[in-house]
Amino acid sequence: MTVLRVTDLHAAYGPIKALHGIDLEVTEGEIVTLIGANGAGKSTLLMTICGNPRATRGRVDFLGEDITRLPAHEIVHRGVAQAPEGRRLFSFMSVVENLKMGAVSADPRHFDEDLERVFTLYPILRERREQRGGTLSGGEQQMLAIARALMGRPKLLLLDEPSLGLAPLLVKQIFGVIREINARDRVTVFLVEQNAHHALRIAHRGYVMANGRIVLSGSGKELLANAEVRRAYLEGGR
Amino acid sequence: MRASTVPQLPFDWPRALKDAGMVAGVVVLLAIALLGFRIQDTSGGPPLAYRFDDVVAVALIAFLGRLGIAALRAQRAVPVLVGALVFAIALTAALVLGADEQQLFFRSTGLNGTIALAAWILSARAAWLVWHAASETSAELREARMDRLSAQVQRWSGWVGPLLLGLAVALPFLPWIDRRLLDIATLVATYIMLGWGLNIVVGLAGLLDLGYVAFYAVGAYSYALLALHFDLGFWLCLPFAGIMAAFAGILLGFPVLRLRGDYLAIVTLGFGEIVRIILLNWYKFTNGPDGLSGIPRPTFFGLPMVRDAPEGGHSFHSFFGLEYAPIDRVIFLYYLAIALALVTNLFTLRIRKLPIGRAWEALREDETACRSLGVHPRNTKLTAFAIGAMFGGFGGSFFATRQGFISPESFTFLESAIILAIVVLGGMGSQIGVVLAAILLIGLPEVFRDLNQYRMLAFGVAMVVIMTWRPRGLLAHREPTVRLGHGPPEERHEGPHA
Repeated sequence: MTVLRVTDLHAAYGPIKALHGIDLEVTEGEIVTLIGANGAGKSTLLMTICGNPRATRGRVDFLGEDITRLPAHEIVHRGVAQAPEGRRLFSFMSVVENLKMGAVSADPRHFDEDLERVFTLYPILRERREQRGGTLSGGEQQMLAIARALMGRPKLLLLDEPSLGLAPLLVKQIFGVIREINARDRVTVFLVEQNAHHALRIAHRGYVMANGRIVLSGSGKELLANAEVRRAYLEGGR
Repeated sequence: MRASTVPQLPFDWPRALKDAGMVAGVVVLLAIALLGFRIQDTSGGPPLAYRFDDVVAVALIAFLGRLGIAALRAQRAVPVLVGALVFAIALTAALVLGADEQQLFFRSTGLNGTIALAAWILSARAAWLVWHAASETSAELREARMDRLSAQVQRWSGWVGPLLLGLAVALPFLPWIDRRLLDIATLVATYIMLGWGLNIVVGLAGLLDLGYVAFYAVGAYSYALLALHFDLGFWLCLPFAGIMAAFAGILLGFPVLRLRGDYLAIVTLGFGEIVRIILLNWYKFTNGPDGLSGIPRPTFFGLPMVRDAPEGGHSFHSFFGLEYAPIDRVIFLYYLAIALALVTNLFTLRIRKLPIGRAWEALREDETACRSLGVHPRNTKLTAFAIGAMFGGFGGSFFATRQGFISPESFTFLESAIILAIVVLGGMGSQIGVVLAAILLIGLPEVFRDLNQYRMLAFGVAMVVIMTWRPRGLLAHREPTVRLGHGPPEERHEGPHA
């Protein structure tokens, strides 16, 4: 079943066009990754799916429903959760309060159960539960951002560069958990990454984006093996 | 004493003198306008009196004080201690013994008292330095210490709150309390309530509202008009006034809450003025600048607080078989103010723990993140605005019933500014901070009414002092609203802002 379908999506920041007709699809139970260089429009695509900025043309369907014109908070209530770029934690609120905010769109009766679930995924958050979000380390903050998004029991989880600025060991851990969320809790994941190597390894399928367009797509393995992808994103530019 | 262990830096006399001279110069400029002239009301004599000796004296004191501070910074605490102490003792003794005012520095007891107080503070600081032989602590250290203290105060609030409440309840029966002090306490309680109400909007939801007085006015006029035209009692009108004010809040909030920060502040400022000008000009309805008088007093469960009971009924004292005492009504009003403030406080404490309260705080921190988590920003802000306005309306009704007379003059921008100052200076979002700031900003200037024209100066000084020492407010500390078991103690250091 198709969870997310993006058709001919255009978006712009004022006069500057960022997306030039994007088509992509995410099926239930998949991890789909979107890789591309800085400024390719990856984050813009993610944010347009969430309704901010609005698409100037094209449409976004979520579970068969057109969500292109819905306000951002409505989209969340449909089951799309987002761990936004830059994490955007509430730095003066404690870890548990951040998680409570993540559960705004969920049934409050599930809270304890969901809390237990994310604490099992990220045991460090249990230890830090009373600490203010702003005092966590970078890795812990990223874990909290993902955990917060999971508290809403999303059907689709959108992750924007979860590995950004993290040490290699932490990156590995973050990706391990994404895989676990996907395999065990059957959460469909749409992952935007610059760290193509890791992202393609855990993804079922991938898209490559450049200058606001999808230039390549295929399974994770295919893309990892693709000469063009290797040259542009994996072996480093010369 | 371990003073010898501290390295003695050479005292930079020219620099200290230059600095002190500049301060004295600034003081002269200010003091010429403030102190140099006085309008006399004696008939026949010249209308203006010159008091340049006062200006010179105040400049001299500023010069010496500044020199003393410079000496303290350079570890020369002992001479400062001796000098300041001698000065303070002499001046205080002169004041206490009631020396002829002409022989003192100034002709105002208040000003002499202020200077004596400053000398005492300076000597206390010097004494502290001599005793600890410590270098001047750095600003960060001091800040961290105050932060720890405010965290401590918040932790203590479990028993500080009840203690303060107990004190507030016992206040009318303390031996040294007279009617005047009780009136001041009632005023402070009103401002505490308004501060707590505005704290919901500014402190929790982070919406800068410069027109809070508008809701205060709506509440006051709602009660007054309902009471005068429909002959309704205070208790019946109170919820109505709150609803009307909340409605005004929604009315204003709906179009303007998409604005942020400064823009919102300007629009709310405008709204405050609009309400005041409507009250001033809608003569048929509000009686314009003449105001509304004869607003009924609140009753004690239907028993009026009057000397003569109404026909066939009881008044408060006759029902309880007491001797009539006019102070009863003052005490009753005081308790009413305390009760209203308490309701506001309990409401705020409770709502902070509910999803809506948490959403307010989250919205203050990051609106984009909130939207991406499914919070409806406008509705959430609107509830904060409406609830804050409602408490403003309650405050307004109380004001109307206490004064018995209201006019647009009571609802100027200055009121908004004072209430906002209480919230900001107390530490945004801090409940006890509001109490402290209200006592400091409202209580002290009232107590020091003897200072006459320097009263507003004291208000200004209090504000400047708080803003210099505690830019984030007196008690800026946020206590988490959720606790699960016993977690490790919170680490206190500024983390990276993502």
